Formats: sequence, C-alpha cells, structure tokens
Amino acid sequence: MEVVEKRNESTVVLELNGRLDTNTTPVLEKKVLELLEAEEVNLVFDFGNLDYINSSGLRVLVMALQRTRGTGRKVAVCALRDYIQEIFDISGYDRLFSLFPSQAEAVAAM
Amino acid sequence: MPDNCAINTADNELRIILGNSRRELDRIAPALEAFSDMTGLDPRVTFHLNIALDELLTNIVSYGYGEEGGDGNREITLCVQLQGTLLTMRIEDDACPFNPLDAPEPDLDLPPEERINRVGGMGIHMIRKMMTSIEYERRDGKNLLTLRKTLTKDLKCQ
Repeated sequence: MEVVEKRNESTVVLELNGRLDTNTTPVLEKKVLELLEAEEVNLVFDFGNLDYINSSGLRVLVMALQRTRGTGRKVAVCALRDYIQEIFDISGYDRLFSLFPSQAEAVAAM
Repeated sequence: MPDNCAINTADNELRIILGNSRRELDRIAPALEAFSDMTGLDPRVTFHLNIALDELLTNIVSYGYGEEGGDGNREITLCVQLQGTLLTMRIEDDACPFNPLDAPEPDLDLPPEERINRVGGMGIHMIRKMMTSIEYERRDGKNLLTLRKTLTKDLKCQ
C-alpha cells in the first residue's frame, strides 16, 4: 500500500493506493498518529485507489475519530468504491464517519 | 501461482496450504484472484471471499498459537470449491480450540470511543453478512470451519 499526503490549509488528505489489510495497516496507523500528534489538522482519507480494506484497516479510521473527538477537528472519508461502501454499511461505520463522493467535496466540508 | 497452492480445473477447486504466520496472509488474495479468473466469479463475490478468509485467518495466526502468535511452522489448509452456484470454503487448522462464532455481535450504535475494544467481533459480523452459512466443528484436534455462499446463476452475490 502507498500513502500519498496532500495539504490544503489545515486539512491533510491521505490518498491510499492498494490494500489496507493486516500487514499494511501499521503503516497508516503510524502516519495518522504522527499527523494528529504534531498539529491541529483535519483528516480526509481518499479511498479512490483503495482496492481492499479489512477490520484492522477500519480500526485505524476509528482511532483517528477517537483522537480528534472533542477537539474541533474533523475526519472524513471520500471516493469509496461500491464494494468498500458496502463494508461501511455492514459495519455501521457509514453512520460514524462523514462520507463524501469526491476529495474536493470532502475538503470543502472541513 | 503461489507456492503450496493448487488449482484443480476439473473440480473448480483451489487448495492452498499456509504457514501459521501473518506474513502468509498475503498469499490469500493472489490465490483467490487465480480461482476467480478460472471460475468467472463476480469481483464482488471475490471481495467477500477475501474478507472472510482474511478475517478468519488473521484471528487464527494471531491468537490460535499462544501469545507470541504463529511461527510459520504449522500448516493451515484452505479449500475453496465452486459447485454450480454453491461456493464452499473450508479452513482446517491445528491451533487451540477456537470457535469464531462465539464472538459477541458488535453494537453498531456504540459511539467510537467504546468501539475500539470490540473490533474483534466486527470481522465475524462482516463475514456473517457476506456468507450464506458458517459452521464450526472441533474434530481430531483440529478446528474445521465451513463457509458457504449461494450465488446467482451468473455467479454474482444474491
């Protein structure tokens, strides 16, 4: 999995390419923790090029949500493929996260 | 084709033997990809199978062999077969007795701060939603899991 980081004022977009699974999740977890500890940023996860996510990948998203809760910072996920959207629907995470069709819409909402 | 992996075209069957380590999980996706190419499964079905095997195998290699996790020296056998519109997956391991169906159903209405410690149940919850049936059996010192998924005639999810 590759993580591409982009900045738009106080929002950091993380574009994920490839598979977010048990063996690649620690890479993203480290990145998210570093970002959230270093500065006051909003986080947008762009799933446009994400091929796969399992429950360990979802756990990192929940962690980001927990760490930003009550701080005024926001977390959003965008550009989910239909079969990955299904994972969010099944897990109830569609109600937990702000989901947007595109990166531009997610960044605009931060 | 990965090592220790065989596809039997006559029986529409995939057999793969994995070592009991996390690194071995990376072999599941390419093997399923090859199986799907052979049988013509819909990509969404392949994704469901991938999730199911990944979640179950992650549990087995992480918790089935003591606190240190699996060392890669024991074998886990996976068998995936398509008969008509019925997909059957079998997982056989010699880890500690463990029935993943005993995991409590996650409470999908919990706020995020209370969710993190319950994610263990989320994997099995997703599998229950994606598969038609799951059975667990402990026999001859082994854990046997049988997962079935009924497909439409054009091999898509029902």
